[in-house]
Amino acid sequence: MSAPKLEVIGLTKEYKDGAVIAVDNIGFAVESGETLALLGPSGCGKSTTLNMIVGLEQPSSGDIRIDGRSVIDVPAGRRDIGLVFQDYAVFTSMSVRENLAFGLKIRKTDKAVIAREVGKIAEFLDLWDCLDVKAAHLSGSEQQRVAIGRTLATKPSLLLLDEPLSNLEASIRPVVRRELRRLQQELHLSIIYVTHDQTEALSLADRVAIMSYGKIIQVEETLRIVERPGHVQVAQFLGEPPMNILRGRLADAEGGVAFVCAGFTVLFPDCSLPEQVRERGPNKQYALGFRAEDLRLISPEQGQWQGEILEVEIRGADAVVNLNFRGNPLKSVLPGEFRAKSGPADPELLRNGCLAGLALEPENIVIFDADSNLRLESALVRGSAV
Amino acid sequence: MPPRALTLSGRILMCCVLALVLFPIFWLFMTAIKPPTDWNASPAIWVPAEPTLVNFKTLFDPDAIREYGVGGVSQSAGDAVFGSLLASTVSTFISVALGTFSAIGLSRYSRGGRLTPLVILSGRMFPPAAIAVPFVIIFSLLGLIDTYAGLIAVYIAVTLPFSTWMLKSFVDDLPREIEEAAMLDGMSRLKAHLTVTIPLIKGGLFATTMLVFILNWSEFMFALVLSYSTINTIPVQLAKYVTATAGTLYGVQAALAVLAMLPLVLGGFFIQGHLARGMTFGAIKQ
Amino acid sequence: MTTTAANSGSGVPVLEARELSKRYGRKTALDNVSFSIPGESFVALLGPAGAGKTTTLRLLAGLERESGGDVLMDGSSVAGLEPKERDIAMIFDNLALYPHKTGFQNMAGPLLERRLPREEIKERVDAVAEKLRIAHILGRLPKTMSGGERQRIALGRALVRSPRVFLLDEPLSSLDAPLRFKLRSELKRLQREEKHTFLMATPDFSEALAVADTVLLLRAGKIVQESSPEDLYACPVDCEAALFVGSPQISLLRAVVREERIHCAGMSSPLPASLESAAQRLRQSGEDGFLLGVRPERVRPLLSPSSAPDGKAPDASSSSVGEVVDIESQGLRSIVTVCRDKEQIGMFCSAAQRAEIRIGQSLAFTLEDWEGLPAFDRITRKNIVRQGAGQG
Repeated sequence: MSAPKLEVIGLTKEYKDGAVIAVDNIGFAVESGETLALLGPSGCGKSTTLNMIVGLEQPSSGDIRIDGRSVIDVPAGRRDIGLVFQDYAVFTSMSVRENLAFGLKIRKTDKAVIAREVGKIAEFLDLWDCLDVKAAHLSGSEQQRVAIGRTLATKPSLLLLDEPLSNLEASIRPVVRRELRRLQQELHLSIIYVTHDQTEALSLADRVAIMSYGKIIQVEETLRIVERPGHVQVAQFLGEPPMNILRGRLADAEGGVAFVCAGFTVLFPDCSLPEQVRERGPNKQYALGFRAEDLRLISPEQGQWQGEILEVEIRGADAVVNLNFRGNPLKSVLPGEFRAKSGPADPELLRNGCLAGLALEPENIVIFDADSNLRLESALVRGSAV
Repeated sequence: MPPRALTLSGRILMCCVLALVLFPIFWLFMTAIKPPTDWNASPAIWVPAEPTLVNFKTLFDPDAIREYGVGGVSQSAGDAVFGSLLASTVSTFISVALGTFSAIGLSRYSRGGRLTPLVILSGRMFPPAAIAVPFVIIFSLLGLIDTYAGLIAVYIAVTLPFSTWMLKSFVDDLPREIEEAAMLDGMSRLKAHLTVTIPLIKGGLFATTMLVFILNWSEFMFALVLSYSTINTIPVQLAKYVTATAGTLYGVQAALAVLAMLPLVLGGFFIQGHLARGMTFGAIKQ
Repeated sequence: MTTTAANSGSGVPVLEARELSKRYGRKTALDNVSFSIPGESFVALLGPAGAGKTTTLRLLAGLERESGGDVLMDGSSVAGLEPKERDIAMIFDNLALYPHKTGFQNMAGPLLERRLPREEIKERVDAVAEKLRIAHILGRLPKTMSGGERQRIALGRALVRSPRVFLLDEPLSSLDAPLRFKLRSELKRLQREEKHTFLMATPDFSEALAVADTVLLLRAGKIVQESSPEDLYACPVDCEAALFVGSPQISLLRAVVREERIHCAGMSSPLPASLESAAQRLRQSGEDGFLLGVRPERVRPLLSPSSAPDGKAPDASSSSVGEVVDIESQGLRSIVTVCRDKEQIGMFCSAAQRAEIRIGQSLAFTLEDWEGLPAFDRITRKNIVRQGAGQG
């Protein structure tokens, strides 16, 4: 088995003699041809991690390996890593052609080779028509394409993209995302994509690493991470809107499972506690997570529980209802037909301040340990199995 | 990123550059405390064996140097120091005050179209020698020759484009929304500029004041052609230390030059904390 | 378009723009714009960068002089009045806090200008700070605050004096998405509970739809549509509006009406009631082709029966086949774009369905519900359904 393209092992960065830990003992690997997204809110340590991989900052401890070889002592310019910044960093006074050739020129590449490589890149990125245009006259997305092309021309073994879309206008982003996907498909690049925007991470990466306060809290395949968050923070970060979380105790009750929160109890009928919960004893605290898409609104009389409607946010195809459930904010997604058709929810019911019944299938509930915030493997069991 | 330690070669290079820059100042100080015999000694004396303050004494008592058998100039440097302080301080203050308001006007209200800033700056594009003669003719008609009022007027005229231009860049850097928010809070335009704009360009004001003061303090051409007997400035006085009998009085010149440096060094020391830009950090989204 | 149903009952609008224009040299930033903001409403000014949103707000606030037209507050003209003489608060896109003053001093600014007694200022600032949950940062300078905290201070500064109208210029644009969603619903709640009047400029359609009662769609200095969020989404005024609102984008497909059936992208259906009058007008003008706006949530991919949610087989005429050209994951679901006859059609698929789809394969899809789809003229690109309904 060959070594992964990039391997980060126990990487730590401390500032001020350990008083500030920007990156805390993180580890991940990027396989050849894979795109890994480093996703987290601003200030979580993403950029520091990136800077250490590129070689702009020296880690306090830990190792970075490219193709199995440690590069800790290799200076920034010689790590064979391409970096594309958020603010394009194209030379606006140069033409597109000069920009694309720049990296090769400073590597003293042969002129004929440069011309051939620039031609290839220009063709690939659809920049033929503007090769001799000054970069300053291009639009934002074209400049970003030039920036990517300039990096690709040097054929890096690893490409790092640092929030490459955040300076582009929202309407152009889907287009550029699609272009980037084509690039991945056709060039089989190994990419680390740093972003705070989950849409970008989910739509471009094969795997997503979620970072928070200097730590990586979960690395998971893109197609599964939203469905199976391993940590409460991931659940509260991913998804639009993110998961609802309620904290309390789980106990057996007559006819089902009772979820006992401060001041109220919710009964989930016809199901029983999983073995994992039983083993831990009765007084453990748990956090229940459930998707807004799975929380349905029904008439107040029918509901297992009731919430007060705070407001309805229209999203176009559907709407998000913000609810107050005994002091806890909950969200529910109403499918598109909520106004026009006679769905389960009566439109009259959707007034601010009204009560609505809430329905939730127990199999859609994810259980987290309230102390470690980690997900339990098992969920509520349908039927009284035990 | 944290600052990195310099490499050895970097340190050596830095020391060489520093030596090159600081040597003339070192030489100036040493000359100022040399007795007249050492001024022109060959080989050159780097550090005088018997340092003396006679050169400084000579500045204000022209006869002091005669002890060494060297003839001096008749005029004391006292009125030159006074003249330089008066002309530089007053003209700098007025130039920066007027410059602040014209900078705000140009930056915020762009009155007079796009060419105005260029026209203003063009005042700085002539070499002073080219306009010195017309100034003398006009000023003699107005009776402003050999008066401090005349000299101050010239200094303001010459430095105003500079202070306007420099301050405009500081006002441009300040997001106009900060003042506009103040106006929406209920301030008049003038009050918003006085209580919001000006405090926020404080760093720029200090830097501009310092630079304009240096320009005025070291100005020679206009002071020379506009002074006769009533007014005097340090640069003009420096040129007078050339005698028929003893050649140039290097020691006395150096002593006055050291005195002339003092206010600039002290001023620079006190305002360096204010020179930093970035006053607006935190006020706006990055 | 100067009056809306909402204000006809409550009388005079709080703020009104009448044929407002602004030119910078030869460039026209705002071209004859008229609208009114009824009291206690939340109006969003939606448009791409450079459409004239900020210019509009600045004219309303009195920060710039209009080149033509008039601004009215409570029915009387405020043209020529200085900003401080109009009872308007504005939150700038860069927040414009005083960098050298604390949170408290920033929020107290408007009250100090009104020379209120010190105790009352403290009382009011504290009350607003309590409501915005920023009491603990009042003593700090803006540079030591987080983005969300600065945002709240700027909001608090506007709220301490309860002006007639709040103008908000892309107030949430620089915040991370989760915080943005949180603050915008707080903003909405605040507006409703305190019965404030908000006019918010935003380039983000989802923000406009989420919070506004009425959306003004601004494009190249002109208001092209004024409608409720639901109508803006379901019934956009022209192709550009349809493409601007909604993500993933709407697909505009060539369609024709033949023998009371509508044909589009290889599918056909009996003419839906919503298109009857538009089809009739087309026939009268001798045209039969138009563009049909199909949003991705209307289209369903047809995979092996096991993966179809209800296993219902659609009738043959309403399904079609295209080549998959792009798959974009969104977490729980993915957007699949298929290409058929040079037309691209977007649709959603579940994670399970996605596993079966590869780029380059052919994929069957269906459009089951044709009712209420918007339709556009091929040349003018105007909505031909809306025309029939009658504007204004």
